[in-house]
Amino acid sequence: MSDLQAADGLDLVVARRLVEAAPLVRFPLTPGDRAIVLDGEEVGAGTTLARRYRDVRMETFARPEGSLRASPSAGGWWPGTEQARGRGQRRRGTPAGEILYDVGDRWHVVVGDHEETLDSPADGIVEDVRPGAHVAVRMTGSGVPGMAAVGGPSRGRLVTFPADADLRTSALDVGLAGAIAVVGARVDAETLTRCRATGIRGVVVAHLSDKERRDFLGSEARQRAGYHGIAPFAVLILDGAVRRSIASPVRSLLGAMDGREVAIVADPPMLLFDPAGVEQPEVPADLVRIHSGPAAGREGTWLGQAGVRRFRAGVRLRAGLVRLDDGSEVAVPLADLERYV
Amino acid sequence: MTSSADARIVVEEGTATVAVSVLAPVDGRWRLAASEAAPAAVGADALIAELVRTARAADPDLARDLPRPARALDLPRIVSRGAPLPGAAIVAPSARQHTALAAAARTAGLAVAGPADAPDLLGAVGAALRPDVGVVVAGTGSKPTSDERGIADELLAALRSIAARRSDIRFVVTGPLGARMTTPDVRDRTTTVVDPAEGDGGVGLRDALLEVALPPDHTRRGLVGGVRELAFLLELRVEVLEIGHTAGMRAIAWPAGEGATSTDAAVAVVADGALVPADPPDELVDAIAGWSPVALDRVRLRDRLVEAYESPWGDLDGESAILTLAAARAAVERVAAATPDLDALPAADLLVAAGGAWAEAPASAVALALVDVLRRPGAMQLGLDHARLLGPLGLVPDPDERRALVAGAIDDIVLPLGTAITPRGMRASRGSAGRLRLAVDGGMSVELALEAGGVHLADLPPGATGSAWLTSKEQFDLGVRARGFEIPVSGGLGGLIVDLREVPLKLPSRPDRRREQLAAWQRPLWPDADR
Repeated sequence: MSDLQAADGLDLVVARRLVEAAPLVRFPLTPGDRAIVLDGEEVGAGTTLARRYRDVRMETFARPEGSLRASPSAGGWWPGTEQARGRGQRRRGTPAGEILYDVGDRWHVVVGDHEETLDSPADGIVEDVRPGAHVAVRMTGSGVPGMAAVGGPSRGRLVTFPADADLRTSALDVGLAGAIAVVGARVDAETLTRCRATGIRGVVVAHLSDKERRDFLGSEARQRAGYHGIAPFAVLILDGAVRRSIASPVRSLLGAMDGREVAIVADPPMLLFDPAGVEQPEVPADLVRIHSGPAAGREGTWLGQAGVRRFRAGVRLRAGLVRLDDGSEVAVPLADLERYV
Repeated sequence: MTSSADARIVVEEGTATVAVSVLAPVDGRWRLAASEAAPAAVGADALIAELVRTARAADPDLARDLPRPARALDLPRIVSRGAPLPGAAIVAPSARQHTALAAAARTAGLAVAGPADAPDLLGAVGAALRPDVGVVVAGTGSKPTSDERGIADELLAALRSIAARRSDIRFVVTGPLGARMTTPDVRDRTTTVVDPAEGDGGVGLRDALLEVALPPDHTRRGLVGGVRELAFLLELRVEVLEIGHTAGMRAIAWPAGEGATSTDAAVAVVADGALVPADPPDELVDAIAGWSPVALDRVRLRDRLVEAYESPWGDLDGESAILTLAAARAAVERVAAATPDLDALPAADLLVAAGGAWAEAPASAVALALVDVLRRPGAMQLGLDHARLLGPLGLVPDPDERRALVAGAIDDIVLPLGTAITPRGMRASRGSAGRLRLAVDGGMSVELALEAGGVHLADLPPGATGSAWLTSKEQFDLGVRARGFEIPVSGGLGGLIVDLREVPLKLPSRPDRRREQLAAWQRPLWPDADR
C-alpha cells in the first residue's frame, strides 16, 4: 500500500488482481476415477491427468487369490483379474476399480463404465493427487480470475468479439470451432448450446443470468447423460449475474491474447494463458470500476473520499468521489467500487 | 479521559465484511470510540488506520487520546473470525438414522454433503473426500436395530477408509459404534456421543458437533460467550439472532445457579440460515419474494440474490436494502423453523440482532423485521449488535477482563431498537381493539387507541424507560390471558412498537396486495424506503 493510497482512501476500495501468476488449479475426482499422474510430475497441455467414469457402482468380492496383501490400501487401484480355469477348479474374475474399503476377507471396489479422459488444459506440475478427491496442478502460466465457471476444463484459441456486442446464434459458424470466445455483453443458454454444437470450446462473459446458467447446465447434463461423450466446453463468468460490461483492463489483456491458446478451468474459476509474449496493460492506479449497484460496469477516476453520504432509501454509506468516463463526478459507495492491481 | 495505551482494537473478520472498533477507557469505563466496516478484502489494517484517522479528525478531544493512524496498528487487538464452517458427510446404517444425524448436523452449522439417503456408503465416502467437508457424522442410536447391527462392520470399514485418506477430517460417532473406533490415529480424531438423538431431539449431538466444528477463535463461539455475559450482567434472558453470509445462529442465555451466579445457554447454528445461500432453490427465492414490498419477477430476483451472495458487501442502498431485509426475514424464518427446541424455552426478555444482514438498514426497520417473523405473544426489548462487538468480546480468554469490557461498553455493544409488545387476540370492539397508555419515567404520558390488526408506534427514545398499560374490553393473550397488563418498557431508535397483527402473521395471498401491505407496515418505520 502506497502512502498516496492510504492518504486518499483508495486502499479502502477492494483490489482485484488482474492476473494471478502460477495458480494452483484443482481438478475434482470422485471415487472410481483413476488418476494416472503422480505428485511432482510435469504435465503439458493435453496430458491425461485421470480417467473419469460417468456411471460408478460398488462391487463386492472375496479377496482375490492373486492379491499380494490381505488388506488393500483405501483409494488404491485394483487392476482386476481375469476369469480362469485350472485343475478342475474355476476361478471367477474380478473387475478393475478403486478400492473403497475391505471388510474381513471381502473387498468393496468402485467400478465405473463410460470412461472419459481428463486432460490437463495447460502446462504445469502436479502438486497433489488424492484418489477419489482431486488432482491439483501448479500451472506454469498465469490466469485471469473470474467469479464462476461452468463446465470445463477446456482449451482453445482466444477470439474476442467486439465490446458490448451481444453474441447471437447467427454469428456462430464452424469457423469458430476450437475457439474460446470472449463476448462483450449478453449471452443466453441457447447461444451457449449453439456454441458447443459448432465446436466452440468455451465462452468468456462478464455476466451470465442465473436462469441462463441453469438452463445451460440442464442442457449440459442431458448431453452428458448420452452414451457418447461430449467435447470439453466451459463458460467463464468474470463478474456475476447482473448485466455489466467487461472491465477495460481485462478487455485490454484479453485483446492482447487474441489468437493465442488459452484454457478455462473451474477451481478456481480462471482463464489460463502463457504470459510469454503477452503485453499486460498498464492499469492506472486511480482507475476504479463500479462493480455493484445501478451503475455497475461503469469506470472512472478516483478523486478521493467523499465521507459518509446518504444514498437511496436513506442508507448511509462511506463513499468515494469518482469522475466517470462521461466527465461527471459522482459519489459512489466505497463498497460498490473495485480497482485492478 | 482515555489513554491510547489502554485502548483496544476489536476486529470481527467475517466472510463478507470486516468490522473494526476502537474501545477506549473513558472515566473508568470502556466506551466505543469509533467503529467501521468494509468488504473483507480491504482487510483490517487499512480500516483501522482509516477509523483512527476519522475519529481524530471528528473529535479533537478524542484525538489527544488516540494514537496516530500508523501507530494504531500496534494497539492490542481482540479478534474473532467468521470463516465458513466445514460441510458434513453422513455415514449412517439406515434412512431413519441418516435423517436424525443430518438434522443435528444442519443445526450445528454444517451443510450436509453427499447422498440424501442411507445406506449409500459409496456416496458417503465420496462426500467425505470433498475438500469442503471437514466432519464425518456417523453411527447408530444407542440401541441399534438388527438391520443397523448387520451393517456396522461395513460402516466401520468405510470410516477407516475415510480416515486413511483424509488426515484432516474429524469424526463424531454416535451409539455403540464409537467404542469401536479404536485405531489410535482415528480414535484421536473421534468424538463419541453415546446417546445421540433420543430424548433430547438431537441436542446432545448438536452440541458435540458445534464443539468440533467451531474453531476456538470463531465469531459464533464468541457470540455464545458474549450473550452469556449480557444475560449475567443484565439478569435477563437474552437471545442473539445472527444472520450471516454463510449461516444463521440462535443462542439464548439466562442467569442460572444459586443466586444467578452463572449462566446457561442453548445454541444452534443453522446451515440453511444464511442470508442468501450460494445457489438458492426456487422455494427460497419465492419465500424472499413473499417478504418483499419490491415487485421483481423470479428471474431478476434470483440474479439479485446470486449477486448478493457473490458480492455481499456491494449494492446496499435503495431497492437492494429493502430486498436484503426481505431476505433476512426469510432467513430468520428458516432459523426459527430449524430450532423448535429453542422456541420451546421461555421467551427472551432481550433479543439482539447480529450479523451482516442487519448492518446497513435503519434501526427501526430492523425492529419491524424482527417482530414480523419472531411472533409470540409477549413483550421484549430489541437490540442490535451494530458494531459487531459481541462476538470478539465473547472470546476474551480472561473472564474478568471479558466481564469488564462487556460491562463497561454494554450501552455501546447493544444499540437499543426499542420494545415490542405483541398481544394476541385483541379484537376490535366498537371501533377500537384497546388502549395503550405510556408513561415515561420522569416525563410525559401518552395515550393511544389501538386499531385491531395494526402496528402502532409510540415515541420512546434510546435511554428512556417507563411503563406501558395495555387494556382491552376482552381478554387477550400476552403470555397469559387478561384484560389489561402493565409492561415495563425501554426506549430505542424504533421506540415502542405495539403489534396487533395476527400471531403468526397472515399476509394476503395475492402478490400485489401482499406487497402493498408490507409497504404500508414498513412506511412509518422506514420513511425513506421509497426514495
